[in-house]
Amino acid sequence: MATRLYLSNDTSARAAGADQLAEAWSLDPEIQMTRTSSRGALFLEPLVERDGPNGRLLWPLATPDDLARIKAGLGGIEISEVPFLTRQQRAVFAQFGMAEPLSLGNYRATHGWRGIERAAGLSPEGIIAEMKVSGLRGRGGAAFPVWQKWDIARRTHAECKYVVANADEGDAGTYCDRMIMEGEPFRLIAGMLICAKAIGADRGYIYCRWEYPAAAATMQAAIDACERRGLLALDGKPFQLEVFRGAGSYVCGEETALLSSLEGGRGMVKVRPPYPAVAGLYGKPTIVSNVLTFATVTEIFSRGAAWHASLGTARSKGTVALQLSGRIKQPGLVEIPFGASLREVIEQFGGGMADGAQLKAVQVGGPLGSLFPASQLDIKLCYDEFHEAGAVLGHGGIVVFDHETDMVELARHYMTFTADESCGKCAPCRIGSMRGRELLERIDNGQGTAADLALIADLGDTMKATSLCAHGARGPYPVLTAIEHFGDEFQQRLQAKSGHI
Amino acid sequence: MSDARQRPSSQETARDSLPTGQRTDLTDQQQSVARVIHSWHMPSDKPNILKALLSLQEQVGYVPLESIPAIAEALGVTESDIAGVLTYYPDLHTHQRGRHLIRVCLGEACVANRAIRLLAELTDELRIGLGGTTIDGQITLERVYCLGNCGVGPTVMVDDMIYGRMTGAALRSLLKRCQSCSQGPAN
Amino acid sequence: MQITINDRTVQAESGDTIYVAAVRGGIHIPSLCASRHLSPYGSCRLCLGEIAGLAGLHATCSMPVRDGMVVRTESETLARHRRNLLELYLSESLDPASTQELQKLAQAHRVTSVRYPAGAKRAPIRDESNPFFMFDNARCISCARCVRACDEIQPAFALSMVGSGFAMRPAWGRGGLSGSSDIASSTCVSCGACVKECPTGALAEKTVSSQGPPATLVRTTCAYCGVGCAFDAGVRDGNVVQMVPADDGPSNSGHACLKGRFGWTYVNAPDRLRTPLLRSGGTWKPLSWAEALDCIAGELTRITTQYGPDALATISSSRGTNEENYLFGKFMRCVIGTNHIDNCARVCHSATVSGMMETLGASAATNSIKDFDLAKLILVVGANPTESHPVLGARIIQAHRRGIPLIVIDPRRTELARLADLHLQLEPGTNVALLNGMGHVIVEEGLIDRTFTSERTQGLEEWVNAVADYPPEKTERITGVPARLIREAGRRFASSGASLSVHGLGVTEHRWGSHGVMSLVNLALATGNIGKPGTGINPLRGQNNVQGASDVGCLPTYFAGYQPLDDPGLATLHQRITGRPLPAKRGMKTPDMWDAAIAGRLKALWIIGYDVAQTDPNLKKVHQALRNVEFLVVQDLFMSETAKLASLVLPAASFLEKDGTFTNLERRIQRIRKAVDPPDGILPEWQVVCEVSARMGYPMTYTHPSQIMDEIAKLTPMLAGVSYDRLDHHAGLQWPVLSPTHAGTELMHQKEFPKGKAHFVAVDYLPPGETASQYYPFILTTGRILQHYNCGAQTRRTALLNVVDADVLEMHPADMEHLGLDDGAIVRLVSARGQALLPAVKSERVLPGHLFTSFHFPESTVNQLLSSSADESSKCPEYKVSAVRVEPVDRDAADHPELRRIRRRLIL
Ligand SMILES: Nc1nc2c(c(=O)[nH]1)N[C@H]1C(S)=C(S)[C@@H](COP(=O)(O)OP(=O)(O)OC[C@H]3O[C@@H](n4cnc5c(=O)[nH]c(N)nc54)[C@H](O)[C@@H]3O)O[C@H]1N2
Ligand SMILES: Nc1nc2c(c(=O)[nH]1)N[C@H]1C(S)=C(S)[C@@H](COP(=O)(O)OP(=O)(O)OC[C@H]3O[C@@H](n4cnc5c(=O)[nH]c(N)nc54)[C@H](O)[C@@H]3O)O[C@H]1N2
Ligand SMILES: Cc1cc2nc3c(=O)[nH]c(=O)nc-3n(C[C@H](O)[C@H](O)[C@H](O)COP(=O)(O)O)c2cc1C
Ligand code: SF4
Ligand code: SF4
Ligand code: SF4
Ligand code: SF4
Ligand code: SF4
Ligand code: FES
Ligand code: FES
Ligand SMILES: [Mo]
Repeated sequence: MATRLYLSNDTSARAAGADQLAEAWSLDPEIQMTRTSSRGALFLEPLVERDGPNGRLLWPLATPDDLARIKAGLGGIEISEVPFLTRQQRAVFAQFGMAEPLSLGNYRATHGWRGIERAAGLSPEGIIAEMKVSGLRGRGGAAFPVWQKWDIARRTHAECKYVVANADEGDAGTYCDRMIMEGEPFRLIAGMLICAKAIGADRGYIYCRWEYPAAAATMQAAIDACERRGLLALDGKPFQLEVFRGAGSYVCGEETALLSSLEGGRGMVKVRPPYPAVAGLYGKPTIVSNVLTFATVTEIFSRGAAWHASLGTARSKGTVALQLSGRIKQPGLVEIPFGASLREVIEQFGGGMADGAQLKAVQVGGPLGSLFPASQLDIKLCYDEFHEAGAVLGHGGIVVFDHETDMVELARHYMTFTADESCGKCAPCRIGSMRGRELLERIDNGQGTAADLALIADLGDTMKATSLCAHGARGPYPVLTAIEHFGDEFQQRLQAKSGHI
Repeated sequence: MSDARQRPSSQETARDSLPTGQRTDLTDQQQSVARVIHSWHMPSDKPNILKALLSLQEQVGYVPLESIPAIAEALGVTESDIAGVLTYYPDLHTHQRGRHLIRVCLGEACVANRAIRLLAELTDELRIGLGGTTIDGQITLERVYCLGNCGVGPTVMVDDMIYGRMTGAALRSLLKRCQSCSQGPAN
Repeated sequence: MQITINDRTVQAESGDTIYVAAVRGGIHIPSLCASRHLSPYGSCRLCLGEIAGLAGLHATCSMPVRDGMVVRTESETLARHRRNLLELYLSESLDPASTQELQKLAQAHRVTSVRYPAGAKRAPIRDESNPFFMFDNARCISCARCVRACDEIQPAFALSMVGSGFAMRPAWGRGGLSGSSDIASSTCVSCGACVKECPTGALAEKTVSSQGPPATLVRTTCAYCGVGCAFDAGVRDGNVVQMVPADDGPSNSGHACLKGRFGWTYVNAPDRLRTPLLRSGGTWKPLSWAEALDCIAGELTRITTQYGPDALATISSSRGTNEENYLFGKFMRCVIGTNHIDNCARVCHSATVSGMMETLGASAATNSIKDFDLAKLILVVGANPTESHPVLGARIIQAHRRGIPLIVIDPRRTELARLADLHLQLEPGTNVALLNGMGHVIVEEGLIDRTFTSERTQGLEEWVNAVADYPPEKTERITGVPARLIREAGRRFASSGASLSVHGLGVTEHRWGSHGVMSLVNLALATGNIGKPGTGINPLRGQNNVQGASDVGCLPTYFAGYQPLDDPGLATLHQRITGRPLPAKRGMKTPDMWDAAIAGRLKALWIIGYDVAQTDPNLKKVHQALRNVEFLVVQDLFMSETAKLASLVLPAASFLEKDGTFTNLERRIQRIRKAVDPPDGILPEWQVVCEVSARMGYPMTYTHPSQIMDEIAKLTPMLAGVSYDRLDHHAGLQWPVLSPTHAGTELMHQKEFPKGKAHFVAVDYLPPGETASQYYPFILTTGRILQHYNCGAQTRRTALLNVVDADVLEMHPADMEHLGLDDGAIVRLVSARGQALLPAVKSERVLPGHLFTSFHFPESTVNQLLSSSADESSKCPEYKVSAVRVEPVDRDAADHPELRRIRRRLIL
């Protein structure tokens, strides 16, 4: 009898060797291989599974030689033995690791289409009311209440409107959008359709960064599948959905830049107002939302707004998708309600530090977020506490740095990123990031002075206060928090090497 | 119109879609340019420069400067419009790059996992800097800020393949394969 | 609504940004990237303010006002950030002279040093490829005002920001791809909008970079085309160094074209006429002014006495001022005693005058330039505004980009035709058929505005009967325009809600030009598109003062204000004010003068600022006539083709050297003001008239042109309220201005037409004077190009010559191939009248079988080809249709002096 194995087709699983397993075992006639989405326990990838008496049996970090063991059913562990997974409260990612990403049948069988069916029965106002109750805030970084944006677009009259999924996922250390597109593409489509119905749009785009070729291909295949089944329609009228590939600009994740790019121009930030919900793509009302936001919308309509509102903290409702990486034992995707502390997450899910490593700093919220020293990890993961701390949750990326990290070099690296990726539109960021980078290079090279450090602070202040978009306004944060918490290291660098000259 | 439909899905169909009487005295590259330009039948849409350039790059490997006037003409935009877009995006290129493209991730998660050291090893080994191409034209080295593979970083992308948990040793064996291989990546 | 800025209450309108409201309220907010002409961009961040109730700082240039908003734009924090920002700007500049706004702001904020260690600088890129201005990246702050100006004001899309981040900068054409900038390779039309917007001097006029910035500004009006752009002439050390279009210019709102902006340097041309010259044998003898004036007065007196007043005539200049033109008319009527005076409106829009007079009773644009913003559809008939009236052309493109539909009727694929929703590419000379065909559709589909036609017009039925003969299919056979397009155009014109039509010489310069105008008026009447905002019949009058020259009476058939010469009331008034009778007998039109001269009846001719020997049709005949008069006075800036034939040549003062008024194509009378002295004591024309007149026993005692205008106002009801006082305090005045308190007229015919009811005049299509034949198989159309102006005397003496230095013959590629001609090959055009040598250039702007050329270079002798055929009632020549043949010329073999110097640059 043939054995059915499950192996993730997710980019990270493949980068960790999943394809080698599949290829090595493809000649074995007794193996039937199903490629699935990923459970997000990336430290276990490549992870091979087969059906067992109590659900799936897992063989983590599998190598081609493990086939015999797996066939024999030897050494597999049960999910209940993986606390990383059992401790989570998965909703959006509940089905991850189970199903074939492009099987519409699978998706519908797990009630994936239920949300859109429910929304189909509601009026646009009804949908928006539901969104209001849910308390969902945008997951792309700015955390704006989703219903408000939708309502503005709904109220704006125009002969055509657009829905755009922001699949630019530019923050280093984040990957949940990619996982959704590769693992459950129909979930994104469903969320976009619900939004389209709410605002009266008949066209949509998924703006996908070029760094995600697999995600783009999967989305395209999913769109084709829906089209074939006539599922890409709203109230009987076709809904046109298209995947658009970016070309490597970080700022194109910012919504106005994204829309300029989608129009085929230079992806530079535009002044707001007008907001895209009023005048976006081609000047028409446009909702730009993050992939995870749309994916969550699907879940809200499937389970009901009240369910969503019951999770999380007072002003951060629902679950947060945290993406752990860096020098920890267990990098991977963690979905839990808002409100856990950063320390809990790193310890309980991250499994503590990698062997021999000591925690030095934690970056939350990507390159626009802040660095937290070991002493400040008790902050609660929710919008409000982060806001009060002058930090952002961003897109939920958590990167853990260890004791070997050179904070001056890291600060310089951050500023280099800000300068490299500046769109160039506004002076504080265009010139400031270059000057900041030069100052940090000087300090890193041991030629810096105390005045340079003070100048960085002054510059950072002006960038924060005056930049047109968050790239320039938040770009200095990692640097400034590094100086704040690891000031000695900077001072030492000044002193240590200025002796040479 | 979707990306996929806009772009001829294979060389075969692309050739089928050539206008009748397509001149045959053109170089391969000119043919590709002509073909791609011909495939932008989007009269009702606003001309989308980025999309046009990306699809041309997909076919030719880069956007040849000589093709700019034809693109401008086909799209009904000016050459400066195209220059603006072409010089904005890091992933649009106007010159042929190496046969193989190695991109090292310098996103924070990979940096936390010593990506900068990895990059230093590479630049030493290849004796080129970021953006450079080895003198034999075999390898171009670039950086990328995050490939969404942070959980199994450090990450390196070689042509279209993404590799995780990179070590110096693993990288050297990848390098060797690239250096010894005489064919370009698919396409 | 009201908002509070820095504790001051400021009035604001919804849609304003805080910045705009502040500027209007007289509050200064530092800024570098904002401009009232451009949409908000938010680059410099200097304009930040604190807004009560909102966290953070906000760019006031992009933040809309809300009623009751409280804003603070000055505080210690803001000042610190501004200093930091200015320091950043200074840190990147290679050039300490990065001038103007930036330096001023830096000084005002006491930013004197830069704390940053030397770092990355701007790439040292200079682009001097444009003849008029240059770009220096080292002074640039990448604010993109230049790019936005080009995109939003001119729509030329000649440049773009290139690169990203620190390296982002503007670059023209394909320069951005090679690390340079290349204005010459771009679609730049040198309008100068980018230069004007630049806040740092990174873009600067070459005249300013070489001579320094102006010390004083003098408001004046452009003296090229009928748009009448207002300019500030910048003067330094007695020289004009810069012409900057005025933001409050009523017809240009701060925009201009290359001729007005950069094409004024002819005033300093080395070969400018500086002293009177008397022909003596084959050479010229310089005269003093006194000698010259004596000579003129003596000769004119002699000829009047000897042959009577009808042996003298004047052709006055539509390039000159109203005051000059009026005086020449007065001189002919009061001193000589004849109505033999004409101006070059004759060859231009005289058909408009007769066509509109007969239908509406008034012959000027019914609406104003601002109506372009109100129209819901724009119809362009036989006009090429992006070249001939570029500021209006830009405005039409702007409207089109806002979504206003555009219909173009033109045999050529002009720039507007290319953009248009519908281009009706008709056979030259078939306007009447086409417009009647559109009328047919309007009748057939019940689209006539019955309320309007019954209340405001008469003669509808005749017109309905006339157009019944033009079903679209038949019209297609005459005009070559597909019936489908004719239907669509008729429908859209009739049903847009506000259709504005503009027309040009493609309507008037025909054998049946007046009929063309009338059939266009008929369409507007039938659909109620007249007398309302955003509609109307709007002739694009050509020269700067061609409207005014006729308005003040330089016409053989009307006195000033189009008053009939035989009106007894006028005669009395004229006698009282001038002390002389008004001759009642109609005078000769220009073509009649040629006949009279050839027949020996015309003995003396005074021609002011009009190069008939180059620009009138059938040149052989014109030359013969000019040679035949006994005494020919020519008054010009240069030794024109006509001056070369004169008995006596007088130099003239240019528009920068005298006071006066011009009337633009929307009937707006505007001032020109003396900015510099004329060279070598040249007398302005009005003083010349006074001097000659005095010598002939009729002293004219004006000491300033304003007194002449006062006299015009007394004699001319439609100008009764015009005075220099008012002109100086207003953005000019649009006639009719019926009294000193009357505000002038933006929109004519709102309630009534001068005729009471407007008349439909049913007209039938008649073929042009010439059609293609076996011997002359091509139809030649002539007209303008952007870079040169009419006879070219002025534009050829400026750097415009570096852009275009030859007339070229545009020919369809298929015809070129058929004749075996290479691009640029020299051909000989031959018509029944004469020939011309021109380089032929492939052009898809013309249809096969058609040819087009401009007439800006005397050596191309284009007008030798044209016939004397003209519109019957107006005598407007048929410049637009000539049958010709094309003969290849072997450049090496042909022994023709011109061929050796032809043609450095060929440009379309
Ligand atoms: N740059 C520049 N500007 C100028 C001038 C200049 O010399 N140079 N001259 C000024 C003067 S004096 C004048 S009068 C104006 C003239 O301004 P326009 O009226 O724009 O003058 P043209 O270019 O002579 O002709 C206009 C159009 O008529 C078209 N045409 C020819 N035959 C026909 C026909 O039978 N039917 C129709 N519908 N169209 C036809 C031609 O193709 C041409 O595009 O420009 C003024 N502005
Ligand atoms: N083939 C062909 N020929 C045409 C036309 C066409 O479409 N095709 N169009 C016709 C039309 S519409 C026109 S209006 C004519 C225009 O033809 P012209 O009137 O002959 O040409 P312009 O260049 O306008 O000006 C004539 C002279 O006025 C002089 N001048 C300028 N300013 C002043 C001033 O202030 N005082 C004095 N005294 N002189 C001054 C100039 O130096 C120049 O020599 O050309 C006509 N000729
Ligand atoms: C520099 C910059 C980069 C951004 N990148 C992303 C991104 O990659 N993905 C994303 O969803 N939002 C990104 N954003 C936020 C978007 O501007 C926008 O707020 C978001 O797409 C809205 O979707 P949401 O409401 O679902 O969060 C970025 C913002 C800035 C300023
Ligand atoms: S802050 Fe940076 S990325 Fe954002 S608009 Fe300004 S220059 Fe562009
Ligand atoms: S196997 Fe092919 S793609 Fe891979 S390195 Fe060798 S030639 Fe390149
Ligand atoms: S001069 Fe006018 S057309 Fe030329 S680049 Fe500047 S704005 Fe554009
Ligand atoms: S050239 Fe002038 S207007 Fe253009 S970006 Fe530079 S400073 Fe701004
Ligand atoms: S549009 Fe006419 S009036 Fe204005 S600057 Fe140009 S030539 Fe002068
Ligand atoms: S940071 Fe390298 S893959 Fe994300
Ligand atoms: S003037 Fe507002 S940002 Fe420059
Ligand atoms: Mo004219």
